[in-house]
Amino acid sequence: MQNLIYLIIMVLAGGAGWYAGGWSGRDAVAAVQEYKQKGEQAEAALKLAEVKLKDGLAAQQAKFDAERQKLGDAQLQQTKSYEATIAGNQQQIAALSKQSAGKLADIARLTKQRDDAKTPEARKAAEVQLQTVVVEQKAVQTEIDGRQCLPVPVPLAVLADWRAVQP
Amino acid sequence: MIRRSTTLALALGIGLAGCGTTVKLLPENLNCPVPDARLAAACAAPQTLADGASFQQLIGASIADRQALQQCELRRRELAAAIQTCNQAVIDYMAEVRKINAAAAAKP
Repeated sequence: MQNLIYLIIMVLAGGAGWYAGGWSGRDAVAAVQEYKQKGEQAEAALKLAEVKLKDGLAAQQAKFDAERQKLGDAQLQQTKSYEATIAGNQQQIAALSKQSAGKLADIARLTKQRDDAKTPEARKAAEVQLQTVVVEQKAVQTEIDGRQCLPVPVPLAVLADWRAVQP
Repeated sequence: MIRRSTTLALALGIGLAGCGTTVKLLPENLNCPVPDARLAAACAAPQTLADGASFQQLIGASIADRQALQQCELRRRELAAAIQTCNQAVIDYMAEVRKINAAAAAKP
């Protein structure tokens, strides 16, 4: 019987301790709850941010992939065009030389026409035509000179300057 | 006797642990998920020419270098844009976290 009383007292004391402890720890429990809630909210915000970031980066990558494809196509076209220019260089020089010869003949004809002109107006008209053809012929000759240079070796000093900075 | 008390202590410990509240710590910050392969992609090295190279080879090499530069710049822009997007995402996320903290602090 005595033991039973002790037991009851112990249980009651335990209960009182539990209640008192619970009361005094009220603020701590509330703080833990609040912290937990904040953690959950932050977790949700992080998940949302991760999804948004992943989607944003995927859209960005798709845009750049398209741009890369476009650039690659344009560069391929550029390389092909240059190769065709090089391959057809000699034919182009021949065609341009013909053009140049025609222009030179025109220059000779117009020079004679200007020199033989009977009136100042006729001389002036021939001179204007002559100057136009001279400019055209110079342009053709420049093109020929440049194209003739393509297969020529680059001077070593120039090549050395071109290579000067190596990583 | 010792075994009995040990078992009792263990049971009590487990019981008390069960009563505890598990609080998850604040989540880690955002990662910038740019693949390593894209970060490691280097720009092409400049072309080389041997002595005796012609002007057409020089122009060809220059075209190749220009193309490599264009591709390199595209990759640089892509990475810069990715970093900007990541930075903005971190700014937005931190603003959200600050909002959560502010709301909690404002509670009476």
